[in-house]
Amino acid sequence: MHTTGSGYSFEEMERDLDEMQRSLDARSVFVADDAGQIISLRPNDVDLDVPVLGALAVANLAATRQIVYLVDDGEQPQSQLLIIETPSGSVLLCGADNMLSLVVILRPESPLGLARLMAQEMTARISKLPFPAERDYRIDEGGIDEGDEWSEGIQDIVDQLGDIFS
Amino acid sequence: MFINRRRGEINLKLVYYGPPLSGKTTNLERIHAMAPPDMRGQLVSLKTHEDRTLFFDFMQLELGTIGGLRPKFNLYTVPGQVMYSVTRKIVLQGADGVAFVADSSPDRMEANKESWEQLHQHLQELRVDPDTFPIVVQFNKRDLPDAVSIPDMKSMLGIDGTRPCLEAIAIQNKGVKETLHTLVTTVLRQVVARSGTAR
Repeated sequence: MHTTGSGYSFEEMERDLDEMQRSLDARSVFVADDAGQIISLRPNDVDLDVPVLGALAVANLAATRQIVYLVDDGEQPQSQLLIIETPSGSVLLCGADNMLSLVVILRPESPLGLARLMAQEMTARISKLPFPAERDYRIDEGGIDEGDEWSEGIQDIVDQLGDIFS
Repeated sequence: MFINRRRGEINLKLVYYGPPLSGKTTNLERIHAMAPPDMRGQLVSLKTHEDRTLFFDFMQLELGTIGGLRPKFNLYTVPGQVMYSVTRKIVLQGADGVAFVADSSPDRMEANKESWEQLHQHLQELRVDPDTFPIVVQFNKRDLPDAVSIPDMKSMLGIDGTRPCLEAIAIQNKGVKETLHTLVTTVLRQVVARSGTAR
């Protein structure tokens, strides 16, 4: 498995996201992978369509990377920060160099300057997360072996899928 | 794929790929309409003013808890139009499986072939081996009176007997859930089969 970065764990990331969300009184702070899948979310019970936001945020960052690539004659930006202002606050999209993305959704009263600094620091930390840089099975803790409970659970999903839409 | 043991979640990214107007968005719309409301997220479509897919369509299926796990399937379509090649590659990034939606109309065979070849090219550029990557082929629009025969379509695309293939009339809901079921099953079976390499 190919990984990038070292010296930062999922536990540390979740603790830091928690602190960031509380410090900024942000509506939500989350990390998504390059497929738009949510890796970690704070708070857990946020009243937002996070799966859709993850898909759009990651696509937005990927499209922006491609724009930079075309305009700058093949240069690949290492990190990115996009700020979207909305009537109900601001949204910060940050691309880390291991293909993870940080999304911060702020309220109107949230301090944007501080949020920007914290987001940049957090993105630098996320870049150290040992995360697969290439396509593979992205498992945060260990794999799946024949016979373990996950293997059996996956088999249950396969068995029951046929009934789900019927 | 992201497997989060702490949350008990399996996240899969599944992409519907194919030539323009072959029925990719229709597949997602039918899945969204069929899925129980408590299992489906919002269907988001980034479209042009002409109702053509500009970037992608997206929806999440969350199937509750099965076998102690919470599977979440993130379904995407790509824009079919030729000029959106870069966008298709962006959407393919991180995909765990692809449903290739082919058009059975005789005058769309060249478009099918071009799209199929570009899918392989994109996967290779993303350092994914197309021969082992889960791809399910859906031959859509089988209700057309002059639909090309399945053997001829397979031959034209160079599909051998090992690749899962299904017939569909997506606009009539036929073959849609079967395609999704086959794709998810193919992807999940690879999880266990290949998990030893994930450590």
